[in-house]
Amino acid sequence: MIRDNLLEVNHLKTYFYTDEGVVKSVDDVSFSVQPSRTLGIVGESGCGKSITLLSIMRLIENPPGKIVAGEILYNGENLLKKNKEEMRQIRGNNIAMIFQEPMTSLNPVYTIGEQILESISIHRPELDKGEARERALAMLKMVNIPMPEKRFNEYPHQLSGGMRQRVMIAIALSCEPDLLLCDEPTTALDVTVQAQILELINDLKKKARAAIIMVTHDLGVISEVADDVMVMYAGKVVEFATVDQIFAQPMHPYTCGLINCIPSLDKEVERLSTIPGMVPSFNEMPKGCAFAPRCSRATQRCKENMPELIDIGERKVRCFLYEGKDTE
Amino acid sequence: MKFFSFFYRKNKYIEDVAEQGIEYTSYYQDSFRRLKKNNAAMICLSVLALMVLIVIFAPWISPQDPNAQSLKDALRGPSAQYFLGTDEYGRDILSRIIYGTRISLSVGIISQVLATAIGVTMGVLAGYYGGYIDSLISRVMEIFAAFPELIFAMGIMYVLGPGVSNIFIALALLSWVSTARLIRGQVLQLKQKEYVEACIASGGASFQIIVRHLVPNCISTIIIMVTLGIPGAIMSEAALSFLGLGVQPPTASWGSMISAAQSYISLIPLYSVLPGLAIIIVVISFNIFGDGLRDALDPKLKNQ
Amino acid sequence: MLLYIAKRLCQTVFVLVGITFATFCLINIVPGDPVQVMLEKRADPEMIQQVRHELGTDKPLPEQYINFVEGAVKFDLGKSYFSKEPVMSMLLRGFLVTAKLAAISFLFAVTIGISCGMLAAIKRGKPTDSFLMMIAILGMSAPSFWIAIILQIIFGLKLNLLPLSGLDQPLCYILPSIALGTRYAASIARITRTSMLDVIKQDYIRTARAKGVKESMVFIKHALKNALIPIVTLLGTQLGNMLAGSMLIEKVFSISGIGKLAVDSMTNRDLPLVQGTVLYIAVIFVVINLIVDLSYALIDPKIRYGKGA
Ligand SMILES: Nc1ncnc2c1ncn2[C@@H]1O[C@H](COP(=O)(O)OP(=O)(O)OP(=O)(O)O)[C@@H](O)[C@H]1O
Ligand SMILES: [Mg+2]
Repeated sequence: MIRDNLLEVNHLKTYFYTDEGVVKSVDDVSFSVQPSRTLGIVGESGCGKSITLLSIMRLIENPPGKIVAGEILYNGENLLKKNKEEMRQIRGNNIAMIFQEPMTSLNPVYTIGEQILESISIHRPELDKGEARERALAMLKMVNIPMPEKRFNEYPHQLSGGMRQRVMIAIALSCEPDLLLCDEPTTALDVTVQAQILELINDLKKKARAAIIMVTHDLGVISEVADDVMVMYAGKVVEFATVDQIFAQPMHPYTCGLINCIPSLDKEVERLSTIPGMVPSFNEMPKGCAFAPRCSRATQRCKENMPELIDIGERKVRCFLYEGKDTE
Repeated sequence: MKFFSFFYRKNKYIEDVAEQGIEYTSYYQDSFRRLKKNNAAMICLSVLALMVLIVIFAPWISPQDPNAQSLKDALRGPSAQYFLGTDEYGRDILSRIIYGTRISLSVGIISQVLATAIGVTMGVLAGYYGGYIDSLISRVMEIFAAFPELIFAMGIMYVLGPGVSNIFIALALLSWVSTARLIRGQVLQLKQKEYVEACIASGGASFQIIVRHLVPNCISTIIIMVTLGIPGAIMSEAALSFLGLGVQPPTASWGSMISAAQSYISLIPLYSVLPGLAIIIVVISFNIFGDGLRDALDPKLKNQ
Repeated sequence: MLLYIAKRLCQTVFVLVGITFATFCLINIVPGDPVQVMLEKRADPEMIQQVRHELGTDKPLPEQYINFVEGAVKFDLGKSYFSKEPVMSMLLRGFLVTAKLAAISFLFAVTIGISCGMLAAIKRGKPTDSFLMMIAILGMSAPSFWIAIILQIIFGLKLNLLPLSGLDQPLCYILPSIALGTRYAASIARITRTSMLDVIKQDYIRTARAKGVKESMVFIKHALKNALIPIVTLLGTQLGNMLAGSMLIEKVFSISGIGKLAVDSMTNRDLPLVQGTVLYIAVIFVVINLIVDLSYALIDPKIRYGKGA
């Protein structure tokens, strides 16, 4: 099955150069997304999900961060080769991002309206004031903000977290991006609001044929919105598969652990086991597989060598257990 | 000296909290290591050390008696006898600058130690007791802060009359408020820490709690406030002396030298330039060293 | 919002009362009889008695204080002992001169300070940043009166470009305003930089960039307005300090502003004039700070809508 890739990331490496040493937040990550599809990225806190998205946006704070290698092909063009001005034209217009922290991601000294209008006026200069306002209001309605006319003139601190996140989504969608990067858009919200927002994002995928990357550590969210899933661990991709395959037959021991971790109401409580241990910090990264210290099936070899990402049909997995099966 | 007794208390305190698992010695070691890495701060520290040597050995270093007049040599340029020239009474400018170091440094340091003593006392009282004591002290601080610095210092000098020791007092009264505010804030925070709460709850004597728990925890702030207060005090002394309300003739002070030199700028410009350079060197050294110290001791305070 | 204003106004009234009290004490705790101090050895007992009567210092202290506050509120603080001119008219004359000078140097300090601070923040860690901050710390460490003299030597004496003293033509303002403004420009630059660096770490700055906002607008529109509160606080204190600090500059350039009045009154020990200058300089300072605090509401919607302190 060959699809046109809207976004193709190849061997991306984003490192942070800190006083204590080099943090390899994203280490040789490759993936692709197609129009009308959603790629879910899962993994524990600190495994480099947000940094992956920020790298695509070219919003890595430098110093200390730097994209040291790889390419990010958007419609076949390498974003890493674009200059600042070209990148600026793309941000917010073709590629938009919804951030993890709704409480602090809006500028406290400007009204909601001003902040939505800003991105419309940057990328749609042809619209006059009235039209831009119309559109901004329409966006607020679309994200189900009650009394949009009133909210339009309010400041972020007057809104609840859920509403702020919806405003963030309205801003991101205001210029109809064809690639939407969502960084845990629902983590801070309660369940009903969460469902509404996921629905909103799903709509966008269907109606506007947008491609979506959804970062989360909530597998429930993944099962609802994602088509493909990429599992990350300590800056590396450990498994890549479609959402059905992941849930039906997880391959990497880490993925298995994660799936056992989902607190699901219709299953027995006993299944709610957690993965022992913690993600190693960058300065005590093991020589071999980063997951080996926590893996129940780790061998001496896992501790000494880092396995390659192997293709198994459509899927990919980074584990010695599946060596030799790639020809199947 | 009073100032150093804080360190002694701190050490006792370190043993105290080490039992609670909080490593305080390593905190100071870390800070010191950070400070040593800061080249600019270390250079400034050596300049300051040099200044202290000059203060101590002024009588041996200065080529002439700073107050010896020789009217026939008045207002000369640099020469073999008068290295940097002479002033309007034929006194050696270099020697007067060297003696001026004494005034500047002593005013800076003594006034700030005084200010810190007042500020810490007031801040701790306000923060620890709260209630109407706090309101009273806070109101007093507001009134003190309601005068622009220079006018305030001038007013006090007007009341006390000119003279070096009165400058100490005036500048201490000028600068205790900022210390008191910071300390008050810190004490308010500390009071909520469990071990202090526990101490209060178990009926520990107030005085003991203050001396053993509150003051030692404010040491970093105190050191920073003293170091960063000194350059301001030196500047204020120079300004007061420049206006004729500070150090009185014939005592050599950089501010009053500039004031006198002002009448002769066309004749001998060096006379007014040099004392100013001396002020800049001392003040800048304290400023940069103080900044470095603050960054090393308390990275959080950096943005205040 | 109204509560905030009311609270702030109450506090100001309280501080103003405190100031009159402090100023009153200032004069009356001078060791010895203030009149005697003022007249020094010039006076015989009879004359002292007479002057006391003129100034009202023979009355009991509480009554004196009430008279003083009454005078302060009515803008009538008696006459200067030496020039016999009403204190208020002398103050007003001096204040107009100083205010003009201070206003010009304030503008100078704000423009230079904020733009240099912004530039340093934008170029953080780069040579431009270090260079600007080095200049700033130098500017903060040089006494203004010394800068004034250096400017006089360079531009007045050596280059013969600008007048050495007085304020009788517009050109005269250049050197004094630079001398007065440098220190403040330097500290404004420093605080602008710190505050900007603090703000640009915030999440909403990243949001702005993600929207495709131009980098220059990220700084000017999104960051500066948020960074403004500490800057404005400093500006308030500084405008007041500038009024007081101008006395040093006034001395160098022989300008007869309020600063010269203050210094002269203190050296001559002209009692009514000392009281008047100290009191009103403090009052102006307090009023400026009040205006600054109220202006926070313009910057920060949280205060405007009654949440913040
Ligand atoms: N500015 C920085 N300096 C140094 N290291 C950084 C910086 N930003 C991120 N990192 C490191 O990069 C790694 C990945 O961070 P990232 O924010 O992508 O995690 P995440 O997967 O999004 O986690 P979470 O679920 O908590 O959001 C972390 O280990 C973090 O320590
Ligand atoms: Mg994240």
